[in-house]
Amino acid sequence: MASLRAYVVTRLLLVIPMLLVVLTLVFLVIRVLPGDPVLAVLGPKATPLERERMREQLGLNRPMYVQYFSYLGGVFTGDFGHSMIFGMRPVVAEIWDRFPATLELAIMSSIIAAILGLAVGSMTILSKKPQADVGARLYGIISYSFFIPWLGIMLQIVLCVWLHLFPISGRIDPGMAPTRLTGLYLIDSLVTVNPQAFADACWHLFLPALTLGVVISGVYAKLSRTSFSEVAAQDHVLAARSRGLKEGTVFRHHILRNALVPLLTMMGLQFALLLGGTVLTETAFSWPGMGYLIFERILYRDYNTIQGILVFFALMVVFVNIIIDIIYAYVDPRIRF
Amino acid sequence: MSRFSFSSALSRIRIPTGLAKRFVYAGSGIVLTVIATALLAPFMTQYDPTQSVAGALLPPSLVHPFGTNNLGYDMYSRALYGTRVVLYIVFLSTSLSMVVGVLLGLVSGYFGGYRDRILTLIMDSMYSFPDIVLAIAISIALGPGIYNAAAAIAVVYIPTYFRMVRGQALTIREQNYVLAGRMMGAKAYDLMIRYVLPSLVPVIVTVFTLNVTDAILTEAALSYLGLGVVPPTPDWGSDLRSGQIYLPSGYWWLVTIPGVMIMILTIAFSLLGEGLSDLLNPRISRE
Amino acid sequence: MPSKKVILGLVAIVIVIVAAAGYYMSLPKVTQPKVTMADTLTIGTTDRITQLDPAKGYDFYTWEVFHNVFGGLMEYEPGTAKLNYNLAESYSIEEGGKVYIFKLKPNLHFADGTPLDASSVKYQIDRVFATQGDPSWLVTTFVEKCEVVDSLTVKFTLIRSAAFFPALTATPPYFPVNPVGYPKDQIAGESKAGGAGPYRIKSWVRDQELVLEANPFYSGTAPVTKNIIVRFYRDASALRLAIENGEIDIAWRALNPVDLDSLRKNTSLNVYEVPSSYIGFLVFNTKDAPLNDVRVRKALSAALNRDEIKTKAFFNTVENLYTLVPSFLWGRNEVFKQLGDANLDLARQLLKDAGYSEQNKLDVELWYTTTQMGEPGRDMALVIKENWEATGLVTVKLSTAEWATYLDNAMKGVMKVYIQTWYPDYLDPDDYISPFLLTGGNSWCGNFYSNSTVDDMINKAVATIDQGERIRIYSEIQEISLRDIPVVPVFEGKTIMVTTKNINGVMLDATSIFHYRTLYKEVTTA
Repeated sequence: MASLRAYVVTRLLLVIPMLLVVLTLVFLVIRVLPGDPVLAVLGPKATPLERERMREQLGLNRPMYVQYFSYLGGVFTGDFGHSMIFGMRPVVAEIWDRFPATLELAIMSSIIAAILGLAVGSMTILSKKPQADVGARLYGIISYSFFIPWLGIMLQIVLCVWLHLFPISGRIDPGMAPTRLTGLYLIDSLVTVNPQAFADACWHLFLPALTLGVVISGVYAKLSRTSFSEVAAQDHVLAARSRGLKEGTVFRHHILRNALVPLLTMMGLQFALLLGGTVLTETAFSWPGMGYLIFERILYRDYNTIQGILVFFALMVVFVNIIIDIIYAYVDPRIRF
Repeated sequence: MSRFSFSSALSRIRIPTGLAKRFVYAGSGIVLTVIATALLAPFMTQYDPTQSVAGALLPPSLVHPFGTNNLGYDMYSRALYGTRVVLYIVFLSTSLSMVVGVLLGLVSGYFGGYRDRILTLIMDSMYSFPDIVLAIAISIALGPGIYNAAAAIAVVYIPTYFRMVRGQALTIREQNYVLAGRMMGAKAYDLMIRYVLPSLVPVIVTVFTLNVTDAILTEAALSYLGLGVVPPTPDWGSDLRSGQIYLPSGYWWLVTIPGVMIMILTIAFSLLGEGLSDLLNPRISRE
Repeated sequence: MPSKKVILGLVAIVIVIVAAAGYYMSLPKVTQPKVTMADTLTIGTTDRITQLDPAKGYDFYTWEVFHNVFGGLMEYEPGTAKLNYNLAESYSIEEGGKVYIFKLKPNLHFADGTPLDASSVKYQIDRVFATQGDPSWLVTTFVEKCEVVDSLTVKFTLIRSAAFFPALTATPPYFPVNPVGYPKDQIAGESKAGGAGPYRIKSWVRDQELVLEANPFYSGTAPVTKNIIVRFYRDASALRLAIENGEIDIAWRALNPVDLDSLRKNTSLNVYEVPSSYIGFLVFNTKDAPLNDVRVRKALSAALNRDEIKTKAFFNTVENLYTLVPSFLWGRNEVFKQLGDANLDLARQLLKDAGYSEQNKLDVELWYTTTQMGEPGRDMALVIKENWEATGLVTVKLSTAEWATYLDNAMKGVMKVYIQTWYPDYLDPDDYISPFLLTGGNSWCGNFYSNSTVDDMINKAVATIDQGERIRIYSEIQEISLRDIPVVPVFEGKTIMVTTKNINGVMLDATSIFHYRTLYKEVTTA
């Protein structure tokens, strides 16, 4: 497996220059922002002397390139600075608080999207009618066209305000959060045997995950359809059919099984899309994840936290893509170079 | 989101040509209707969408088919005039992306070298950001306003065009007729325009349409987050945001309509794009 | 030995007595339903605690927690804006208001039993100087030195005399902290050690929940409700639904105005509304065109329609304000009533005098920010735009920025006219006058107003201890503020709280300090 290892190493090494560029881009964009965070923190009554003192304290009066290198240095030691606006908490702590919420939402949404997408894709293959194909295409178009906040709000109107079936926002009722082990409420509540927390978390998670899941499912439906059709065109399927196996069996044993792994990896490549979707979903449902955090902090010019989140987002996408690429390389040796 | 458009453009599965044509007709029909609405809005409603014309928070009625908001603005007018802002920003930004992205892609793919490597590195890094996040960051840096929003959205889609054009340029560059042209002393500029660009036109057109779809959603997202247009400009995304807090008190008409408008426009361009992609790009190999 | 018969007889009697008693006790009682006080009460809010060190915390809700968990030398009496002794039992003023000597009550303790004396007071003052936290200016701009005279006496020497110094000691930076949890030169943001307030912190999960229990060492009357749970909700809509569904007993800060309006009609809830200390106003850049012309400023002030702003942008959760000093405080002179509301005739006349006409309209850029005020801020700007354009002689363009940029723009004079809000730090007319009218004191707001007569009057009013004299001076200052109009008062906020019907003891006042110790919840058990 030498070439696989070489592939992995190469891939990882290539990340470093990209990481550098990402950090620089983020730094530039954020520092270009007008507005002085010191004013926002101290309020209008502070004297110029106090403001100067705080700028010094925060390192804001150093020349830009000094701040840049100091920032880079910090990142490589894991120090993303402190949130200037919110009590000088380390940025890493702020992100760490919120990351599990986004992760939980992303995972649950992709599960729902995958189920819906696979269902639609399967229907296309199983049903021989061309209308099914058109139907799938239309499903992809329409589901993707939902404006995420709007879909969320519509669900809120019907299921929360009119029918009182689900909570309108938030991740869990205050005070019900399970002991934090992973930060993923569903897992934590199961592990600590806390059924009320589990139920409450599920109840809050359902609508946001459904919203994002529906919108992403269109993409997945399309991928499924493509993947299934390709596999269905291959020889072993033809052979299976000519042996007289029932369509359902053919589908399950030959098509699905062969298509599934590449399909799942392709879905993984849509991770950036999923992450982008979480930003809007979180804002619509006041879901306390990273998307909501970036929006909160942008309002307050919390430079360091914003930088940290942007970098984190990019890193997550890069990381997931690398993993997918490695899986691909493992599965298909032809891809390694 | 641009990744979705891209993969869709390269889809191998076609629908029957007749149907593809129907998609195109349906899509362009709706798009033209929307454009007409944008142009004819003043004739379709008597109310100024940025003026208080009636009591606050009135439910839909004959006089105000979509009701009024908390400041007494007519929501029907706002829905109609909203088409202007969206179309303007979206076309501006996607045209800009296309021009810049294609140019950079051509230069990068054709000339190669260190310029290519640096550009690719920057573009790939930009590509690692989810679209919305990048748009938000740039939008914050530039501030609110129509042109700033357009610029922010434009930047997000440049890497898409860049990648596509660069890939094609790399391939075509090695073709015999291009090599022959170079040996004969033809200028790089001429070669690019003559050989590389024409083969790209169908793909560019399709991707453009699908990018417009994404851009609509991104523009709505920016306005929803408070980063796009300045009030009282009628915009569906910002109306959605303003209306959301009135929901628990039962004022449902403030949020329903803007979202439906967004959907209509998005579906229209999607249909158009999907149909075009099938008609113009019969068998494009996967990248 | 008694005979068998006697024993049997006795046993029989005992059995009968026991049986009878048992039967009697098993009879259903006719009882009165009992009303008891619940020992736990739940409050819901959308605010957040940023951290728990009074030397650093400077946001509204964190200060509320401080007021309930820590104690200061003085405090505001719940339900009033009156200052009372708290940890101090008396104070004396010397050198014309430059030296304050406080005598502490004896036998004071922190929440864990550690004794509290004069050195504890000095400990916190030293901490504030050493750590330079956000609210430190409340101490460092007034206090020159703080000395321990004896274990129960503290002497403050001020930089200049200040009549409102006792009010300052009622602010959190002055609250003594338990040295066990708060090191002397470092901020301890996560420390739950607390101080000498009516409650102490049992647990705090950031952005989730705060649990308070009664402080057994509290020097005043023990709180009525032993445990308070505060739940942090993510947004105002969720908070509204929570109080509607009965998940919490009290909803406090911040409900959307439209929700408050709709909850007023809910008969199973009580809505408490009192004038607050929060004001909203417009600031004019008096140095640059076009607003350097006082006629223009006056015209724009006259054209404002405060009623419309109140109903449309705020759903009646604010009141019209006609001078900088709000209604709960003494020393007001409602001078802007002279200009009236939506006084379009006056406005047009003034604008024409200033040279504007239908062909040559006044172009104005009005700024607002939603970072502090939320959507109502934007709605207010939209209403004002309509008010001004109703004159027919004005075109208004709206601009917005987030808080940091907004403050920056203000200071630099970039914003010619903008909407701003103000929370006072201490309840005295000075904190509504100096920040806008005093040269230097008003540099943050960019109105570039400098009037040496007014400066002299303000300084005099600060130094004087005679209340009557102060009232007279402030009244005159407000007249001048109408003449020069660097700032236009628009609305004063209301402190609004929603509770379920069985909550009592809510004492709201303009200080907006919510004292938990007076609250109780009546629970009926049959």
